[in-house]
Amino acid sequence: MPRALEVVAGFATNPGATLTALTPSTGTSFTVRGTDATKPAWLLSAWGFNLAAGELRIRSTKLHDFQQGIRNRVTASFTAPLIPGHTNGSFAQRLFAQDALTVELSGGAAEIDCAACLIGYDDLQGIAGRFIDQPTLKKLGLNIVTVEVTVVAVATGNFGGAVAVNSSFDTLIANTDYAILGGLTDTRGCAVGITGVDFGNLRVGFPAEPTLRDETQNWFEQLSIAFNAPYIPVFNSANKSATTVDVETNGAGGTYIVNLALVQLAPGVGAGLTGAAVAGAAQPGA
Amino acid sequence: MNRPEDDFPVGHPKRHDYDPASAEALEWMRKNSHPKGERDWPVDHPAALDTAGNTNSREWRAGIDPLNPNREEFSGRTPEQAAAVKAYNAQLAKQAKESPVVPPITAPDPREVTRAVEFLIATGNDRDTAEKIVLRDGAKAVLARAATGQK
Repeated sequence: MPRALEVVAGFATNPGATLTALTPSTGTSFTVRGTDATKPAWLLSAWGFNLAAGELRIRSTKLHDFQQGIRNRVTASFTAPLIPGHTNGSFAQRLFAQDALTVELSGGAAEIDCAACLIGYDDLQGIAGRFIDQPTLKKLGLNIVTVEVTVVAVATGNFGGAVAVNSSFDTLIANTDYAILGGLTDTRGCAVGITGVDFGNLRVGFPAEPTLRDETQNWFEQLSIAFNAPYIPVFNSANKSATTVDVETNGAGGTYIVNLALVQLAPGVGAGLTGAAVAGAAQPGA
Repeated sequence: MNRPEDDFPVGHPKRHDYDPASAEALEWMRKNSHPKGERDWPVDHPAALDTAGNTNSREWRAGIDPLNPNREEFSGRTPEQAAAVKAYNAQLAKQAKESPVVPPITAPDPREVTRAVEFLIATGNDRDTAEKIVLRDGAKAVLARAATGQK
């Protein structure tokens, strides 16, 4: 299936006590992408990054209710998943094509507060991102390798500082597929994004939270396990210069050292092929 | 001269010269009498709550050295260093660029990408250049050129 995964983020400037609709970061939108109405889209996770505690509210007339919907407290300076934590089981909220989610945040009166939603598409025509599931990772995985990049974030609430995955160390093996299990950041922000042609140029991502290393270091792998679906992004090293890492954060900006946890894959994962599609492929050591 | 072994230490209640008001007896009581029950740690142990200077009440927060709580979390920078880095980051943030917005595309077939890259290498390009050409033009376009004998 032409699967897709996208992290969308936004920010509110000086929201104070007012639940303020987020301004989507440049290039992102809280409107669910247009897809075949019979093919589900899912709100897989959401998180916020506030300097002062506030509330993150996600609602839509097509979800449970349009009064409070999915409302959670955002504690100060802690970018943790709010709904639903997928590291120990989860339940995804079904979303609907072209539905404009109302995402609001309260927080500090003199700061940029931000939040992000991770949306999965079972079938998004025109994207066909490359994702595998956990069994396929186990079957095709060869070596762990990390990619370390330094991202200088912008202070506007938008994603910024995009650098290629090989910008610091160009060690990936030519013409080889790599699965991205997740990553680590040394600095707190809202979201770490990874964009590449292999994901249909959509941005996949995870919370920029240095204290939740056990959650972020294999974020996509845990996502895949929790939902029993292929959500582990795969990119080919031939596309490394167009596979970029960036960060969305608040008005403080910051320099982020991000380590992506990759697994080198044995050959055999085709375009848009999910775990089920490559099941049974003969691989060394399988 | 060797002193004969005492049956009980000085200050012990069962010792023959026990004087409950003596300093030794009071010290023995302090160390060995626990009317509230069994202690978790012996008297004067560094981890005992009633030992002066113990660290039991220190808060061990993630990323913060409890002995230097004034230092920046996770980095361990002093306040002066942290302020300098913050100022530097603010300067860098002004120079940083927002990420370019790229239009969604259909993810390329890695087998086509590989064939296209190999074709370009075979026609005299180095791998980096070949990969960049494939990213710029698309694998299908490169393979179409290959099929018609173009470079």
